[in-house]
Amino acid sequence: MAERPTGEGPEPIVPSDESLLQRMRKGDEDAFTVLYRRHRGAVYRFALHMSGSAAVAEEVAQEVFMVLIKDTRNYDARRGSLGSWLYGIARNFTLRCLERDRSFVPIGEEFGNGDQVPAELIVSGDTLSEMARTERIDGLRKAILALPARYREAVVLCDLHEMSYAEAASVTGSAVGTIRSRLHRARALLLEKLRAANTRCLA
Amino acid sequence: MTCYGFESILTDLARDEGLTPALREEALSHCRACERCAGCLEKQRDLLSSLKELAALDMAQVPSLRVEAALAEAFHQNVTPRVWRRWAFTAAAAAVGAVVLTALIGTQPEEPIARRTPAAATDVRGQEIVTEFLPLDPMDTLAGLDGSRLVRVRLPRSAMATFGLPVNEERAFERIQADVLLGYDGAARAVRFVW
Repeated sequence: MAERPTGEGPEPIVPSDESLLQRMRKGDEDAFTVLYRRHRGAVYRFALHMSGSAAVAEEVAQEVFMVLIKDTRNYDARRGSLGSWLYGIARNFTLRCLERDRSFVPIGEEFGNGDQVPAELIVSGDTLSEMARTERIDGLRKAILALPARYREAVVLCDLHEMSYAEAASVTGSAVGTIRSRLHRARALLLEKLRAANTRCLA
Repeated sequence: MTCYGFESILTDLARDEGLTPALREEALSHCRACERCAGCLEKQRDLLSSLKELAALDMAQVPSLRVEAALAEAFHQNVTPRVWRRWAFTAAAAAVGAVVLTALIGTQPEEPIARRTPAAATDVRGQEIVTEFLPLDPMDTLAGLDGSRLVRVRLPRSAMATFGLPVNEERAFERIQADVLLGYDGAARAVRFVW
């Protein structure tokens, strides 16, 4: 998640999101720039990990911060952090993009029919540690993209973005137990997909 | 702990989240005794390690400068004019208020002060044509003004432009009659123009 100021005291060195937001609403462009640079990476990477497409990630990042510019009063600090709010918007835009262009997740079926295994997933060893680093990470990336969206977002939020169950639940608007069980299932599916790719290679 | 119980908390154990110290210790103890479950935990940790590696590799990924430039442009088009308009309207309303106040202090009302309600004051009065009451503060809903005072004054026609009403530039300096609605505290709350 984006870094947040945590220091206590009357005058924090790093301005909080809330104070930047107030300045931004009064027309302070510098405040917006600071907020943007603080949160752009998390938003962009979330969309990138969910879609596998830099173009979609750029589009989502731009749309998310356009919402911040135009509808900033919809953000209610009592309901969660600005970061969570931005993640939530990013999630909606990303899912909409995925719906619009399903070609970003093409390898799910390929895992199922076994006809064409992407070169990145063809591994030579029995365990992940035996793969070349680049191939292993690339294969993992594609395996994540092959997960159904609800499981993928659990992995992306909890494992790649290191959110707690509670934070991920806040972003997705679901119960903590739901996120927990989805992550459990997602991890099992990931291992299954990686193992299946490995087995096909050996065969 | 059974293997089934272990499997149900495997993700939590690998993440080290959501387990009490006692349950965590119980799970690890089971792991030491069960080779299969130990293997499962190791695979989960390997997977988590790879996921962290992937996240670290992508940590520097940010949108291109094109996005930042587009957003800066959007900020100029949306937020800056909005703020400017709010200030401009407030300043204009303050100017009208000052004119009204000057008129109230410097002149006697042309007709006796009448007790009117905002609803009644929107009617056409005889041969006169009147506008709606226009609040001096755009956020003022003019609620709770029953029994408030109405004062007839004369204002420059240019004051109408402040409220978005059309003004003939050639007659901008002529005076036009206006009814000013006063609150209980005597402050001007709204104005309507009279022809």
